Amino acid sequence: MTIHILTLIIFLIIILTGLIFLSILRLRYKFKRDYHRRKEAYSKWELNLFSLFAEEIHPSQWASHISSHELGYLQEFLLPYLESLKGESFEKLVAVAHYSGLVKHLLQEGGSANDWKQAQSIYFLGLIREPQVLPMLETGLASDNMFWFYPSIIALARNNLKTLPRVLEVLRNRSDWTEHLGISIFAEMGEEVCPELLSVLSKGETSPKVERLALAVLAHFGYKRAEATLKEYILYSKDPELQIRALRAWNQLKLTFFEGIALAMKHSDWEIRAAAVTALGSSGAVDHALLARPLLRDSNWWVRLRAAQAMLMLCTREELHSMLDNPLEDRYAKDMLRYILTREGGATCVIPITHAL
Amino acid sequence: MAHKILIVDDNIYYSHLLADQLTRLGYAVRVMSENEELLKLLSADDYDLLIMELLLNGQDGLSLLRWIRCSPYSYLPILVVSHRSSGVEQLRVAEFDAHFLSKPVDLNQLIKTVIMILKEESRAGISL
Repeated sequence: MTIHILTLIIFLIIILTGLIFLSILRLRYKFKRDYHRRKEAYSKWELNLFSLFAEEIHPSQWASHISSHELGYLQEFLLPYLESLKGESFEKLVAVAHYSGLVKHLLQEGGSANDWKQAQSIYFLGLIREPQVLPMLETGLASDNMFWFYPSIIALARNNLKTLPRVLEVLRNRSDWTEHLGISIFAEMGEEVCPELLSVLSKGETSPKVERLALAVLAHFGYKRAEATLKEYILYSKDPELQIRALRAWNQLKLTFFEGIALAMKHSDWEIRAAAVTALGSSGAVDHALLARPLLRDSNWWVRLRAAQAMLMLCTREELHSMLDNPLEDRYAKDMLRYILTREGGATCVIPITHAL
Repeated sequence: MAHKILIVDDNIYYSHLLADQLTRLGYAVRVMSENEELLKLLSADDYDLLIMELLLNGQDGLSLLRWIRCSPYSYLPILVVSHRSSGVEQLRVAEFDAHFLSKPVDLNQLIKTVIMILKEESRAGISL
């Protein structure tokens, strides 16, 4: 009896091993076939692509040679080009996607039960700004899966500036997004988003995270009309983080000096003082350069560094060296000035020795 | 003699497309592959223009830019075409005396910029 059972077990193990081996062979065959088909399709399409951009063929001519089983490869093939190109060449590729039936195919895949396929389809459709993708985004926008949420919100933002209220609503209701994603979203909308964001801020935005993001985006686009709004934040915001963002934006936009910067330089929060003195440096306000001098003696290393950098931008080298020579000057202030003159100013900071004799 | 252009970009599809478009216009184009060294390429041939991305696999494009500007090839005209396109990055690229276009890029605009840079360099008599 025991011998029979043992024989049976060995027999089953042999059969199972055989099945596993066959599955591996099948997968290997499938993978190789897929690899060769993809390679073949890519080499064929690369020539078509070059001809398309050289105006030798029309998008429909290329699309007519693409069979339905090649649509998956076409999606992968077009992606790096669509991500890198815009204008006429981009539109030509979008036309190929339409004529070949890829867009129709992806609209169907967008409703698929497979999350990964759905996310990929939505990313592609979002990239080509396909309006039909909009009703398909709701599940992704509510999803906890970031690989599903990110392409959905980017697709929403890419589609039309009119989607801004919905984008903001989604961002207000969630806290698991990064600022980097937020900036990417608004960067997709283009500079036209700036006046819209300014209007959102002036109406009293309720989410500090969205407010911080909006200030970063205004700075990203170098939107100088944000000056009045930034002043308001620097002068009246109760949130130190928002004050810092506004000062950093002021610095990035290289706006001129105003009294709010001098006030912020006396703030109890060292990060605000550092941001304020940096804004002073980039403002080019030579007449107010000495406002940075007390901050050279600040208790915080970063504030002293930023103050020294500001002074390097606003003062002459001789003025800085006379401070170094002053025996009454604070030791830490001198150390920082020396550091900044040697490290940041480079060779241009070397002053000829005038007291050699 | 045709102007020589070197393209350094991780997106090999885009590089080949750009190379094809420029070759059709009569330029001699070389695309740098992953296992090649930029120094060897630059020393092997006198290039008239380098087109590069800042987001490179395993290397920071800005460091590469700095390295070129401190090398014997510091005269080389450079056009940066990159996805990294914030104002700060554009300023840093300008500091290295390089031209900048942000991705996604209009191919026609890119080609016009290449022609313009090469014309400028020819007029100035640099690197030709």
